Amino acid sequence: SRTNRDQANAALVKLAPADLTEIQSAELNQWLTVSGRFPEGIEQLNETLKTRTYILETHEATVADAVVLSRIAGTVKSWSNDEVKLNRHIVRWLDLVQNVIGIKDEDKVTVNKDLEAPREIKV
Amino acid sequence: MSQYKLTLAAKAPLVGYAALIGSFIINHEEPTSPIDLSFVDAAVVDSSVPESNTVLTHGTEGKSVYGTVEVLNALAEAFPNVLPVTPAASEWIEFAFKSFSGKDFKTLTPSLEKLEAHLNFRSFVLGDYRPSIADVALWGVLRANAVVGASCKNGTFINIARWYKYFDTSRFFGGAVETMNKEVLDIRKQSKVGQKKESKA
Repeated sequence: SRTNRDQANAALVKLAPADLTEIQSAELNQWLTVSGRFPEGIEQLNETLKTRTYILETHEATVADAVVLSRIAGTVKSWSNDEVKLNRHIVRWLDLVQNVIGIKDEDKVTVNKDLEAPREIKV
Repeated sequence: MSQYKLTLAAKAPLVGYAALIGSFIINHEEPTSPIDLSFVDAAVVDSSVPESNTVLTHGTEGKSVYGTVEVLNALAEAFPNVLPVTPAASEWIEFAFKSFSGKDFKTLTPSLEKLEAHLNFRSFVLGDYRPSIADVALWGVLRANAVVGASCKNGTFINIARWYKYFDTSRFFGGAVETMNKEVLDIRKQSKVGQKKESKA
């Protein structure tokens, strides 16, 4: 339910590193909400990860990456190659995060890092 | 106590940022901070050696290594735990300096396209999910080459821009360049003060 999700999100915010900036904290809250509504918002996630290695633009993974990963991994696993190419920034990020936060090998989404994808042109 | 001295020429056509970044990382990882850094406000460190934009000197042996890629490789050899070089890393280091040292866009573009495609599904150049000496070499030479600098930043190459920014905001990469720029500015200020004093005398 909505209340349960809000409570879970509030608990997750408490786990966030203390050195997040105000903007990063606000974005963390936003991503906890957006990721609760996937598949709505997947396009927004791909757009964000186009210009950021990690979701909050940190140099290491944060709770934002871990939670959003857990909420999208199943979807990414089901993607065809065309969907992978379309959402390449999510796939690139997911492969990084699943490998740096210690997801068990059997639970990882298999990513073909050499999949050929046409160059994206800035719009 | 420092064992090594790294000297960079700030007015070199291609400043040896890769060697600078490598040294920053080594000094951070090694408790003794074994590399002393110094800068000269000239195109070369040693006017008798054309390739001396970057010079690494071993304190006790006194032997010097010249050139950015040679110095980077010497640093990696001396500190293999900090900057491990796999065969894949070695290929990228070679690619970096061969492809991005020139200033002609016609020859630079295919190399940028290759890197762009490589970064479609990779956050860092090597596939093991962390920065490596391959990123040091590539970012260093791209940062030094004014011709490609703009297209790395403005998003003409979307993946490169993301990767480039990650390192630009890192204290070991962008931070190292910033430190150097500040010190070079100080050198310039001091030499101006010196000139004024001389002209008064």
